[in-house]
Amino acid sequence: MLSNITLSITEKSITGLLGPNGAGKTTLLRIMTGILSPDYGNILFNNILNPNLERRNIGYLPEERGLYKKMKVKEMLIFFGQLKNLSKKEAGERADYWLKKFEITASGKRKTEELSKGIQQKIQLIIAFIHEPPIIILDEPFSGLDPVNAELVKTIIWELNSRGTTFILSTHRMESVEKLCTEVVFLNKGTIILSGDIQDIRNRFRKKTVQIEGKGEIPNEGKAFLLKSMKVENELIKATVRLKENESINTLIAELLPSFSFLSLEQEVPAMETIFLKTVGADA
Amino acid sequence: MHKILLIVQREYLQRVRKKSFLLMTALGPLFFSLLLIIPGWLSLASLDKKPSILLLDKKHYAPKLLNQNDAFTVIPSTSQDFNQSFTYFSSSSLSYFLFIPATKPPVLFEKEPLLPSIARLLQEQINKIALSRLLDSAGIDKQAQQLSVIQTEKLYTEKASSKFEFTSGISILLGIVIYLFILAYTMQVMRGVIEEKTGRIAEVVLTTVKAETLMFGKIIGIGLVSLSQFLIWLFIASTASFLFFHRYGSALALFSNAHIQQTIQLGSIDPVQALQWNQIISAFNSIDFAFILPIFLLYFILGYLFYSAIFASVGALVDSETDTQQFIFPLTLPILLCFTLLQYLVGHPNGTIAYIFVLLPFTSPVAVMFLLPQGIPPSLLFLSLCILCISFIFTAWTAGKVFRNGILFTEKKVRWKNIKRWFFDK
Repeated sequence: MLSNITLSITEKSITGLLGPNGAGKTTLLRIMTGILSPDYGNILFNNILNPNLERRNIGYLPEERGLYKKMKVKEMLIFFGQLKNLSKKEAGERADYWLKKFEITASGKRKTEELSKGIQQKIQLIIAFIHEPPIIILDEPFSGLDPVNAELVKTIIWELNSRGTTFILSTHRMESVEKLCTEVVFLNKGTIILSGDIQDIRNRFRKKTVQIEGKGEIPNEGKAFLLKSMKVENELIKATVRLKENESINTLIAELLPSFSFLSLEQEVPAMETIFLKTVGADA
Repeated sequence: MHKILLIVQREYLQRVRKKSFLLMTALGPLFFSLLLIIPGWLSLASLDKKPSILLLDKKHYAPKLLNQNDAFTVIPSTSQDFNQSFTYFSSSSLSYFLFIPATKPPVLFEKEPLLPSIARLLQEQINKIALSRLLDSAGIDKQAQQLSVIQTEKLYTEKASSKFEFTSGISILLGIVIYLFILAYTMQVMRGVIEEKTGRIAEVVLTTVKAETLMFGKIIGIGLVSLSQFLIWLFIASTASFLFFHRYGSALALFSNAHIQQTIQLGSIDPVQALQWNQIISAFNSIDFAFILPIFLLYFILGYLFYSAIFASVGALVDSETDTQQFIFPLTLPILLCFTLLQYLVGHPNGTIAYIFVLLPFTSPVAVMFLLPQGIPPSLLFLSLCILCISFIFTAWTAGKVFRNGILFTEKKVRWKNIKRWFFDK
C-alpha cells in the first residue's frame, strides 16, 4: 500500500528503488508502467498527463518472470516488438541484434520452455529493451543471474544509459546500486523516506572522521577539528581527526597546511547498505 | 486496433499449428458420424431381434389382429393340442409361447424375459380383442362400439412426421455442436488466461496493451479457431455429401417425389423400402439450410462470446485450473438443463418454460436450436438475439474489470470484497 508518494525521476538517470520486502516497490513500478492505476494522483511523462499515450515509451521487466512457454524465442520477441509498434521486419532485426548482444543467438529458434532460467531472464530483458524505449523499468534485474551475466547486463544498462535511456530499477543488491545508479529512492511502508542523487546522499551520510597521513605537526584541537588519535613512525604521522559541526574538509586542509605536508587524506564514506539500514531502522 | 489484431493472430496461430488441432479437425467428422451411425445401427440391430411368439389360440382370437404391429411376430401353432404345441415350442428356437385357453386366462411361456414394452403391447391387444368380443356378444353393433373412440380433427397444417423428426434430429445435433464448441473453446479461453496469469506473462503484455484488449484479443483469436474448425467440418461434410450424391445421385433420384410411383410400379424394389427412402430424401430436401445455418452461426458466435467473457474472468480470478471447478458447474448448469429438459421443451414449444429458455442468454444458444423445427416466432427470435447481444456487452464490460484486476492478483487469494471493489473501479 502506497501513500502520498511524490517523486521525480531525472531524465537519463539510473534510479535505484530500494526498500525492504513489502515496502511497495513493485506496486510503485506497476503504477509507473500503467498496469495499475493509483487511487488518486497522477504519473507524468515529460510533463504529459496521460500515461497511456506514453506506455509504448516504457520497457518493463516484472519481478515475477514469465514467458509464453510454447512459443519460439524469436517469434515471441517479434510479437512483443510489434506490440511496441515496431514493424515485423524491424522487430526481427532488433531481435537478432539483442540475441547476439546477450550472447544467446542459438536460443532464438528454440521454445522458451526448453531454455535455462538464466537464458529466460535474458530474453525477458530483451523484451524490455527491444524497442529501445526512452524509459526502462526493471524490477530486480539481477536476481537469478550469475556474476558473469550480471556484469553483462550492467554493461548493457550503462551502454543504453550513455545513449540517453532513463532506467528505474528495484534491487536488493546494494553493491549494484552503488556501482550502477546515479539516483536512489528509499521506500519503506509505502512512503519515500529518502531520495536524491547518490553522491549527495552519500555525502550527507559521510562520517565526520578523517584519516590523515603526512609530515609536520598537528595540534590537539583546531578551529575546524579535534584530534582523536595519532601515531608516528619514522616521522610519518598517521592521525584520525574529527571535524567539528558545520566544518568541511577544505577548512581542515586550510588550517593544517602551514604546518603539515599531506601525503594522503581520506574521509570515511558509508556504504549504501549502511545508509539503507540506518534510514530504514530510523523509520521503523 | 493494430494491437488487438496482433494478439488475435498470436492466439490463432499458436492453436491452429498444434498437432492436437489438426488431429481433432480431421477426426471430428468421423466422431460425429459415429455419433449418428451408432444409435441408428443399434436401433436397426434391435429391430432384427423382433421377438416371435408361438400362439395356441383356443378362443379363436384372430391371429392377424394380434399380428398388426412392428413390435413382435405371431406364429400360429400348427397343432391345436397344447402338449404338442408345447413340445414343439420347447424344441424350437422360439423364445415365447402364448397359450389362450378357452375358459381360463391366457398364459405366456418365456425362455427369456420379454421386453416390458412388448409385454404391455401384447396385453393391450388381447384386452382390446377380448373387449370387442364381449361387446359383440352383448349385441352392441360395431358402429356403437366405435362411439367411444376419439376422432382427431387436425386444424393445423400437418408436418410430415418423418420430415419433422429428421429436421428435429438435425437441430438437436446442431444444439449439441453449439454446446460442445462453447464448452471446449471457452475452456480454452479460461486456460489461456490462467496460463498467462500463472506464467506471469500478463504483466509484460499489460504494459503495452489494456487488459480489455488482451482479453478480447484472446477471446476473438480462440473464437476464430473454433469457427475455423467448424467451417472445415462443414466443408468436409459438404464435400462428402457432394461426392455421395455425385456417385449415388442417379440411384437416389429413383426415390425422389417425381419418380417414386414409377419406381414402385417397376416392382424391382420392395415398395415399403422405396417409400422409406423417399421419405428420407424428401425430408433432407425439405431442410431449410439457408435459414438454419445463419441462425446457427449467430447463436454459435454470440453464445461463444457471452460464455467466453465469463470464463475469461473466471480464469483471471483463480490461480490454478483445479480452482475453476467451483465456478464451472454453476455456470454450465443452465445449458445442461436444456438437455435434461429437451423432451419437455420440444413437447411444449409454446410454453412459458420454452420462452424463458429461448430468451435467457445462458440457455438460448442451445434452446433455440432445439426448438427451431417447432417454429419460433420471428419476434421472439429477434428479442432472444438482442438479449444475447446486450448480455455479451454487459458480461464483456464486467469481465474486463475483473480480468484487469484479477490477472495481477497472484500473491493472495481473491475474495468477494476484492471483486466488489473492482466492479466500481475507475
